[in-house]
Parts: sequence; C-alpha cells; structure tokens
Amino acid sequence: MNHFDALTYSRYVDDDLAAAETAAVRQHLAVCPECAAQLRALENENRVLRSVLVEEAVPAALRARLLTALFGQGPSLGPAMLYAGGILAGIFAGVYYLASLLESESLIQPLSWLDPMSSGSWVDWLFRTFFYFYEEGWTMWLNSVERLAALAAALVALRAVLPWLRRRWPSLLGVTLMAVLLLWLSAPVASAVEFRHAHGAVVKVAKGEVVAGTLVAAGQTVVVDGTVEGDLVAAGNRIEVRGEVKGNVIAAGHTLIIGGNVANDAILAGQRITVEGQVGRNVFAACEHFDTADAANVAQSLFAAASMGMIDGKIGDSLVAAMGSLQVAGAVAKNIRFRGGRFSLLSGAQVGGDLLARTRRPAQIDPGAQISGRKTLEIIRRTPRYMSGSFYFFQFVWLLAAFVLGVLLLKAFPGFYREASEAVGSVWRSLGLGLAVLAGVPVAAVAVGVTLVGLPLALITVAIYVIALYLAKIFVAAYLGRRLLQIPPAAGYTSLGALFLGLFILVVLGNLPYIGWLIKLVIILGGLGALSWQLYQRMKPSSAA
Amino acid sequence: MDPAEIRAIVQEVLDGDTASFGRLFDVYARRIYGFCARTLASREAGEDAAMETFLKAYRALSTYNAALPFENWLFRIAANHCWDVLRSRRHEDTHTDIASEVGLELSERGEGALERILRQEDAASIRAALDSLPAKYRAPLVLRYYSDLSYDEIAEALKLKRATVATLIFRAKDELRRIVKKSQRNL
Repeated sequence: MNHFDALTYSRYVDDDLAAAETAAVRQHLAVCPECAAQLRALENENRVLRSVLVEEAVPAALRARLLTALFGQGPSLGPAMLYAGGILAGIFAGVYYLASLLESESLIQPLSWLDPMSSGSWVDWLFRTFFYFYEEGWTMWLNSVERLAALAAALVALRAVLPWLRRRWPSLLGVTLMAVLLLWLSAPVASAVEFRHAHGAVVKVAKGEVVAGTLVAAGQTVVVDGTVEGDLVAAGNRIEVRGEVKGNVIAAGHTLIIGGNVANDAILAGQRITVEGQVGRNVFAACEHFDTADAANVAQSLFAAASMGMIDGKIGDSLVAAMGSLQVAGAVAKNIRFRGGRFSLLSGAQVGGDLLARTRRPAQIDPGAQISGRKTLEIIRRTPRYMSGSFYFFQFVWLLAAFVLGVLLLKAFPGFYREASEAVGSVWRSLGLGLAVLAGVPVAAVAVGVTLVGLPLALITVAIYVIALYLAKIFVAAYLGRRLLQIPPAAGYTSLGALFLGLFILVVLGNLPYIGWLIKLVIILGGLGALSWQLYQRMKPSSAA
Repeated sequence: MDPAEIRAIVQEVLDGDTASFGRLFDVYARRIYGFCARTLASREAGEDAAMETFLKAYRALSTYNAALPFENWLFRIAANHCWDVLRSRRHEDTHTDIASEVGLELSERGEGALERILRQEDAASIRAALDSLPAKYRAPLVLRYYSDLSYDEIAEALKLKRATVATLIFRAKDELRRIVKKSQRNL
C-alpha cells in the first residue's frame, strides 16, 4: 500500500491540498487504518493548538497610546502643552533678562529680536545675524536660529491646540501656500519688470534712457547711466550705477560701484564695493574691500562686513561694521559700532554719537578726530570658553530649549517623532541623505529663488530647511537616549528621560575640544537625514503595509 | 460585528471621522495583541507591535480592499511587522531557506504528544514550548492556528513561498512535539 508522506497529511488537515490530491488522500485513508489514526492525531493536535492560542487581555494603556500617537489626543496633552509653552516663554524671558545683566552690549544685539518692542526689519535682522556669525563663529549661528525654532514651536503648539487645524493641516497649509503664491503672482505690479541679460557682454542703461519699472540685469558688466524707476536687481562681474535708481539696488558681483543716486536701500555683495554717490536709506554690504568715497552720502545707516574698509563721506545715522580692519575718515551723524581686528578713527573724522570699538589690536584715535558721545574701546581677549560661567549657563539653556521643543514635538506629532527618531538608527542612510539635503537644499533654493517668481517658494524652503537643521539633533537625541536606556521603540519615544539623556550627551560631545564641531556636523547630518527620510515616507503615496 | 458594519466604520474613517478608528481598535485589539504577544513571545514586545500594527493600518487604510475580511488584512500587517521584528532580533532564527532540508518525516508517530498533554490540562506548558520555538516556526504556526490564515495568506504576509510555509508549519509542529516530550521527560 502506498502511504502518503507526513507533509501531505499535515497539509491535508490544514485544507491546503488541491481537490484531486484531497480525494486521493481520502481514498487511501478509507483503506489504511494506520494513516487514518495518524491523521486523527494531527487533527487533534490542531484543535489543541487552537485551544491554547487564545486572545489576550489588551493592556489598558494601549488604546490611549495608540490614539495619542495617531491624533495627539493624550489625556494630559492640554496641561502639558501649557506647561511646555510656559517653560519656553520663561526660558526666553530668562535668557533675555540674564543676557542684559551679563553683557549689556554684545549679547543684547543678537538677542534683540526677542524684544517685542524692537522695530528691526528682517533685513536688519539678517545682517545682525550675519555680524554675529562673523564675530562668534558658526556655532553661535544656531542660537540665532532660535527665532525660527520659536516660530516652529509656536506652530507646533497651535497645531496641537486646534483639533480642526490639526486634522486639516496639510490641506490648509497647501491652500495657504497656493494662496500666497497666487497673490504674489497676481498682485497688481506697480511697475513692470524688465529683464536684460547678455553673456560676456555689457548690459547698459544709457544716459537719458528711462526704464519704467524694475530692471533685472545680468551680464559681464552692468552699467546704469540712465534712470531706473523701480528696483535694480543686478548680477555681473562689474556693476556700476552712475545714473539714478528710484527703488532699491540689490546687486552681487566682483566689483560694485554705486556712483549715482539710489533712492532706497542698497543691498550689496561682492569682492570690492565702492559707494561714491547718494543712498536714500541704508546700505547693507558684505564684501572683501569696502570703500565709501568723499562724495558718498548714506542718508541712514551703513551695515558692512568686510575684510578691509575705508569710510569717507557722510553717514546720516549709524555705522555698524565687522571687519578685519577699518579706517574712518568721514562723518557719522550717530553711533559707530565696530568689532574686528583693527580700528582707526582718522583726523577729520566726526562721530555725532557714541563710539564702541571692540578690537583685537588697540584702536587708534587720531587727535584730530571728534567724538561727541561716549568713547568705549575694548580689547577682545580670547579666553577658553570652558572657563566662563556663562558658557555653562548657555549650554544649559540650549539643552533646556531643545528639550522643551522635543517634548512639544512628541506631544504634537508622536508618530512622526517616533518614526523620525527611529530612522536615525539606519545610520548610513541617514548620514548620506543628510549630506545630500544639507548641501542640496540651499542650491535648489537659490536656483528657484533667482527666477524671482519662485522667490516665495525659495524663502519658505529656506525657512523649513533652517527649522529642520535645528530639529535634527532632537531626533538623534531621542534615538540615542532610547538605545542607551535599552527601551523598546514604542515605549522609548514616549520617555522624556531618554530624550533628556540623549540631549545631554549631545551637548557634551558637541563641546569636546577639536572634534566637537565634527560631532555636531555628524549629528546634524544624521538627524536631517532621518527627518527627510520620514518626511519622504509620509509624503509618498501609501502602499500596502 | 458583521463585515458590513466593519466596512461602514472603515468608510467613516476614510471620510475623515478619524475617531471611528478607535472603534476598529476596540473590535480587533484583543485578536491583534494576542497574535503579536504570542508571535514575539513577549507581552511588552506584543504591545509595541500591536500599536505599530494599528498605526500602519490607519495609514494604509485607503489601500484596504473591502472585498476581503478586515481581520485578515490586519493580521497580514501584524505578521509583516512581527516578522520584521523577529528578523531584527539577532538571537532569533528566521532563516527559512529549507530547500536543502530533506526527510520530512514525523519524529513522533501515532498519538500526538500535544494531545496527550492537553488531556493533562497543561496548556501553559504548550504555550511555553511555543515561546521556545525558533521564530521561523513560531510565526507561521501562530498565523495558521491563531489567526486562521490560509497557507497562501501566510505566504503573502511573510513574503515566503507557499511550499515553504507548508514545510515550516510541518516542521514547527514536529519541533513542538519534541520540546513538549522533552519537558515531559524532565518532569
């Protein structure tokens, strides 16, 4: 008698055989008592297994955890949000107050944006940030980014507080962006935009010629001898404004000469910048060599960052400069604030207000120079930052701010927080992706931004990018803390202790001498990569789980 | 709850009434949690996995084919996730390459050892034996006898060939008998 093999009987009792096979097995069982007994035993075993494998009582907390993860509806969310919001506000207020006590000048300036009464414009803020960056190195840059982090935290809080907004957040955001974009595109343009460009040649607005609206010009050389009724946006190797621009001048190039008359602001970047004419408002400049000639007249303030500078002519308000060396021979109606290597106030120079110069070498004030207000000359001494108490204080503030933001993220987007943090675990993917995003986004933003039409999109992209840079470390910290405490993912990402531990370790590692900056870079790359990966996962069309 | 009701709830969630997802959880939580805890041989890991299953189900809800039982769809997600968890555990054996394995014969013939033990009302020792099974055997076994998935559905959930599933289940039971018998001898 041909018995079937044991596997066939196993599949038979599990109804896995085809009809023909099933029939054949049945025929055999009818005549083979041995196999029939074996089959009964198998069937009994299946019954045993089914009776042993029973449902389990679900842990009480699972439902709440799931709903919190999905919709952020934790039972204690409301008070937690208020609490966290209170701490955040307290931190900012505390930093502001203590900063004003500790160092009345240098810390107030970069933190002045915290002052709700401050009237500083965005451009002003941007330049202040740049100056601060120039003075303190790139680590301080992240501190300035706190402004955007605070904005992000506010958005997070808003999103968590309003359930309606929370549910419709993506569509609402989309609609808002579209509306902004449409408004931008369809807004009645006061003056038409004219584009002129010439590769390797001269773009010229000839003397007597009038460009009715804004002129966007690019070429080897851009020369404006005539009149531009709107703004002038120019890029080129050499840019010369000899005529009149009735709006702003925004220009970047190797050599920039503002010789004529600019009615509003001049925002300039280049290797060599010379202001010889009239500027109706402020000048913002970043370059290697910066000069203002005798005939120059800046009606308001001059902000400049440069390697070397020479100021002649008149400045209607203040001069704020960070430079390797600066010589001032002209007249500044109000204050001069300088920080950098050398500072000289030459004979004939006039300062209507205070002079504050913080220099590495002693400042040189000629006897013939006049200073109406207070004169403060300070020598910057480089002491190891680890030696000062304020270093530890600010590290602690940094830690606490990041922690509070982490808690807000966890409460508002628990699922995203958990998955983005866990994605850090795929180390090489995160680092690679992080590097690509870190380098790629600014390039993409510039590429989109130069089209002008895409400028709002570029600005939004940059804002998101900066926020992402700040958030990166939080995900790395959450992952690190969870791994160190050996808590499984689902529980590990609700543990505030793990987050705090992770952040603490990151602070310590990031401040190690010599390699701290590298570690910080790796942290940002890893976090940014994980964040980007998770965003990608969320945005791509969902496939079957 | 009948399938039509479940389909209605799924539709409510898809239409934006996200709170209804809590009702789906209430219906299936015990089944899914039991499956995860048994497959992963740990209540804590089971809780995490059950949570992941529902999270994934929520996100992929729009891909659910209403013609199929919702429970089986959930089990597939749970199995998929648990299988990933098991594979990430270094000490678990999830190596399912059985092409080279020969001799699919029972080591225990006649009356099943499991049946004998059940008669002694010792379900706990069978559960303990199940927990000690290699993961590659435990997962398909639980999917078959707890979740009542067919071999085809198990194969799809674990991304294995159907023949592999049949062999794994066969081997799983054989291994289970061996473990139970051994523990009986030790008593």
